[in-house]
Amino acid sequence: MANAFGIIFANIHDDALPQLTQNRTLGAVPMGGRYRLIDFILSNMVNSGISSVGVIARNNYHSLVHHLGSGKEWDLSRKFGGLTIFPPYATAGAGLYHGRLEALKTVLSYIVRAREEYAVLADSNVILNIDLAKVLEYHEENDADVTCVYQNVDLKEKNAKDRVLYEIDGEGRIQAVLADPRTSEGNVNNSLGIWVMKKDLLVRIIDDAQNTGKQSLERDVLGQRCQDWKILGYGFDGFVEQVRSVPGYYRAGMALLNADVRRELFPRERPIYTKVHDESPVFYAPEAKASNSLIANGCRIEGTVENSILGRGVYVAKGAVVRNSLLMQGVTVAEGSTVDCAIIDKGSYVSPNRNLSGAPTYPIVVEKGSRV
Amino acid sequence: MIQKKKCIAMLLAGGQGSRLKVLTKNVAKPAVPFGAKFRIIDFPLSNCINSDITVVGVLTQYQPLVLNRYIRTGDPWDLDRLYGGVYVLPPYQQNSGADWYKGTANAIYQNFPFIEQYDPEHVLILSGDHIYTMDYSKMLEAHERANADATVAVIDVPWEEASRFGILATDEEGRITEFQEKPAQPKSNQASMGIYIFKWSKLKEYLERDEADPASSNDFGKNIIPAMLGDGQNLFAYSFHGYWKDVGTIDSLWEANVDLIFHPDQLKINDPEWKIYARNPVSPPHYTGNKASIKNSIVSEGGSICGKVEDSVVSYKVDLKEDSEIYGSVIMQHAVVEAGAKVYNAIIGEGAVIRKGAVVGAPAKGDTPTITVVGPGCTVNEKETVPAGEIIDREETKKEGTNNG
Repeated sequence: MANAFGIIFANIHDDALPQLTQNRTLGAVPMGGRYRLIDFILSNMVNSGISSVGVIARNNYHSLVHHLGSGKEWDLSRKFGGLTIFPPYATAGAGLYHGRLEALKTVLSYIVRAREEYAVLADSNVILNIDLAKVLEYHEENDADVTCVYQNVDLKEKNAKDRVLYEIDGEGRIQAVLADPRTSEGNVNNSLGIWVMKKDLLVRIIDDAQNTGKQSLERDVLGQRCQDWKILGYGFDGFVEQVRSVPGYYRAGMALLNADVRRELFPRERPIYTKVHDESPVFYAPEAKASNSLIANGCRIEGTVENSILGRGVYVAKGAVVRNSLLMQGVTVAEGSTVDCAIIDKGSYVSPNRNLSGAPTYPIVVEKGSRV
Repeated sequence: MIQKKKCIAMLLAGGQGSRLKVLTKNVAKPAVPFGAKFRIIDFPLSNCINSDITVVGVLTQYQPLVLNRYIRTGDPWDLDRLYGGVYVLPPYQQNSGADWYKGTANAIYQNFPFIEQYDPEHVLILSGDHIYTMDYSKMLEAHERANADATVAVIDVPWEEASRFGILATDEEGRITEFQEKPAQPKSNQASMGIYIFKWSKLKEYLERDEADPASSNDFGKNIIPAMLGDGQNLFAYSFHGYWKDVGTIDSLWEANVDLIFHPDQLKINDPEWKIYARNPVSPPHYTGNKASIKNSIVSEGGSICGKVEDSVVSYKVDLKEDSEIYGSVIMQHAVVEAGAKVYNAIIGEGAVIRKGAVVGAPAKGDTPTITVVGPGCTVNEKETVPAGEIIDREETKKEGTNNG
């Protein structure tokens, strides 16, 4: 059992996927056929021995609440701790929160009451399988004030927009925090949006932020305190995708077709948990063709599916072809239609003999419940 | 605290199911996997919750570990309840001594205290070896409307097969006039499905009487129903129309599985209004490989399907390597079929391994294939040939983590 509780920000990057987050928080966006984005970090916490997790939602949180329920599927339906979902808590004179610090302010009493000594904070847009117990161990062993999880990446283009980068010295200490840098390139340390600190320090940070009007945890707090606090970087070199844009979401989805990625992301000893839906097994008709694809239960395949990920209950009719696409729950592709490089949101219907085609770098997005 | 329930269910799950051979070596028959993601017991349990019956006692005695681990708190079937829910009821020691369940009726007799907690008006008796979907609430309605002391669910079977079943003769109103156990000269083709609803007060009376008779075999079909009939009690038949199959033999288990592919309209496992629930481990969707070819088959989650699959039922976390070929077979969870191996008309048990180039079974000659079985956890060696009809029962060579089901 870890001596830490978890806080997950369910909405922070909503604007990254405007078409997919109109009716849901980013954390509730489907991924990998049967998961939601939040399942990854939430399961990571549970598998690392964290048994008390608060999820902070801001708006459009119905599907998130529906998905998480009592937390039973993550083994978080507990007498002590367990899962707590925080819908917006607006006090007089305060509207919805913006940055993480304001979000944390709304759950201050939860944090103060927590019995654990450490807090693990995380965004919900990150797809990975990390042993957070090791991060906690590293944090304690090195007597750090804050430990930030990052990955060293090679930025191909001179644009790190929407990323936060850390400058780290030879001793692993973060010397500078670059939020939204537009000029970085080459080898950089990219923040994964996962932080560990003592609960007491977190409470101090929240109090201070309120008094001084700070909004951004990374830019306004960590970035300003590099010299007087011991802020360490913890490098993670496994598979990671952070969802920051539509093409990025598409790339993350398609990455799961790689067997090595699946082995790393879904190891037997650290499963990714999700809500169970009791769908029947996939039915493949005599004329079905399916290759290099992930196909969730409840699907009915009469046509052709290639290089795609199909969510629960998708119907691919006779003569229909689905290629290089991500189809969410309950999508129907009617007879004779072709779908290529598309992201089709929940419950949409592609009429017979249509041709829907995008490009890998710019996939078409069909919004939830559309008729094409 | 007692919370009164109008009708509770008692599910007889104690049978060994010896005709399923190696498939029930380590598990009770109701826990045998079925239809890619289920176990047999999922059908009666799901029928209960879908029929609004929220107290189910499951009577076990043969190899109960897997069944216990599977049912646990009953949450997959929504049977984890503040009042009622599902309970596994093994035989237990009493002041007066200890007994195994001597027969189906005795199993209920030994659990009087469980039943009395709910002060039910009616008790539904179910068995854990049939595949079917049925609305028990309609049967209960008919039972109450007729003011019956007992109602027996019946299904029309072909006349030529009637002598294999318990046959009920009825009058025009559906009142049972005669019961014949496996008759040579059947008087009707209405077979008992082994599903009964009793008025609890009557059942109690007859179970007590049956228990006092040392000559009785303490069986519902052989003793209780004939005794009630003999006393002129109000017994009615309730006709069921729909898919129902006893999966007590290797052949019938295989048939019921492939019926899901060839007759999906008969047994619906994808009806949103009548879901069949199961406890499955959480796993990603199954992966279909670059060279995969899957036709006329059903496949569940978590596996990797890279070979050729036709007319087959493939369960969760099954690993079918490239160039493997599966025809007309039932592949249970965690099984592995390696490259170049061919499987025809077989049941491959949970966690079994078919090594490279092995051949299991043979294509059917004529209409009905001869079914081959590889037992749970057994290995078929490289290039080994397993003739059609063989049943492989070897030391288990591979233990799979199947904690969740």
